[in-house]
Amino acid sequence: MPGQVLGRGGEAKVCAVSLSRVAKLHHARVLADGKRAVLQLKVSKLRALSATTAVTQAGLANVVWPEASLFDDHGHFCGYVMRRVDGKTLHSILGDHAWNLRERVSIASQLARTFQGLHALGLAVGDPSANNVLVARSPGGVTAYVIDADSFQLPCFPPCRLASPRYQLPKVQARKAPFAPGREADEHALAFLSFELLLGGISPYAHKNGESPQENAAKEFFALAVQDSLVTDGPWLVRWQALPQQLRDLFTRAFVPSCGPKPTASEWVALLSSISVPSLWPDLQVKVPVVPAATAAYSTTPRRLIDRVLFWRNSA
Amino acid sequence: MTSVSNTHTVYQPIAIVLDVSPSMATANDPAFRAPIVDLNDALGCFVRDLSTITHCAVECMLITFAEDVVVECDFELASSLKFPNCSTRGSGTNLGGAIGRALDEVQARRDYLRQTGVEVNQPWLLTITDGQPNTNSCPGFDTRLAALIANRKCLFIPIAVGGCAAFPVLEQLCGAASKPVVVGSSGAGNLTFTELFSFLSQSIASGQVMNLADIQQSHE
Repeated sequence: MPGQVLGRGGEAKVCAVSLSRVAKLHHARVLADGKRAVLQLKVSKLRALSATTAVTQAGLANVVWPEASLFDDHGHFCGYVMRRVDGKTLHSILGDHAWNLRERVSIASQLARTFQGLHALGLAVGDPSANNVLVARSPGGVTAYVIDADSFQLPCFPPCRLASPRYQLPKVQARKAPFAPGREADEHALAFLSFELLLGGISPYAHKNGESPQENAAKEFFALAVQDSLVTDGPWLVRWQALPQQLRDLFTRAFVPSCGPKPTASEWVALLSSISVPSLWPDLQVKVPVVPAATAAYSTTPRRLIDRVLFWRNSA
Repeated sequence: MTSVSNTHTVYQPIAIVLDVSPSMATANDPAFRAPIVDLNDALGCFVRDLSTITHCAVECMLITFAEDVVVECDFELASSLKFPNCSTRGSGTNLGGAIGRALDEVQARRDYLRQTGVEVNQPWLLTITDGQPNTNSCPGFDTRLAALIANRKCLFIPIAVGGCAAFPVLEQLCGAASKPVVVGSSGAGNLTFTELFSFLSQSIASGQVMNLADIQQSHE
């Protein structure tokens, strides 16, 4: 029997089942018009797939796979059980300075590995978005989990429902092409998510005198790489310029049309797992004041520094 | 009016234009509460729901109108916003003046946000009225509104309270693309303000483009 509701979205709600398991229960309208049978079959396939060695070899341990199907009192499929991940949504940490740049690179790198692994198995993420990734901290580092596995695109299954507009391909947002989940759409979303992570939440297409997010994406104008004077007010230009050149080149290829082939998940994996970045964004780095040892009231730990900068920024 | 922050990179402006002519203090059926009372409660819940949204910065403003037009609250982030308790006043219904003023405010806010470079979702203009306008201090507001709707620069959400008198007026402003939403007294089996505002906040929370017809359908 499902317990406390932990989250609710447009398609389903997630309830606690035990300390280590949660149930995803789909809303009735999501299961209407024959979609129940398709979703039941898809969950069953995903469950079977998750137990194969191919999944282990592809490094997909960070995917929250369905573990058992759930049925209502009439015996109709209504959702599934999965392991419980106690983390924050990626979206909620984008602008949170408590998550440092190295942790963000690690998250982006793990996401790229997951995307790469799914593509190697012939699958696609389907609905890649910052709300479908949970991140958790532990003494060993950060871990990024991909949830919403039932929106994965499987071969021989109808295309999944419409995905989060923000992460869709510019040509889809410009209404020049229909939404089609697959590798191309995933790779754009991966670049977009990585950019949001490493810059702190801004869209690559935001710029001065721009329009709505959809209209900006349709124009594919990447101000940071093209025209400094049109970059959005704030710390974005400083943060962009502080990124390693190889990373900026990859983002430029991803977001500027006719700038070479779009980067693949494998390219992101190769780069993100090898680059070195400072711990803090440059706009958060301050000179440590010289305090005589005898009068120092407290040690200037990085955490305290961040708090002091935030306090200063908020009071300014 | 708030400036932009580094924590939000997408903004969703919402202007609420509210009829506070004396008829809003009277329910069609005396057994039920007056629309203005239901509205005050529902607006409070609406702001509370909006303040929990994290994927964009939702900012609201409130304009009330009778024969005059008053900006009760300038654009403010939902997280720090508290709408005043609205009460009825005057005797006229200056719908055109109120919509014209709201369009000025929305346009100015949108222009400011665009200059800073943050992304601005299509502004929402919620117009809530229960009667026929009998004065208009802003001639040409309807043409201006129609152009903004046609160019997707404004999402017009007309709400006819009670339905009878206000519906044709708002229907004319909507154009062919949509129909006004009819809201009635709570407890009378109608779509209520609480349900309407709950639907609207969920639409923003989902990040999907709202279809106005879904509001009525979800109730039916």
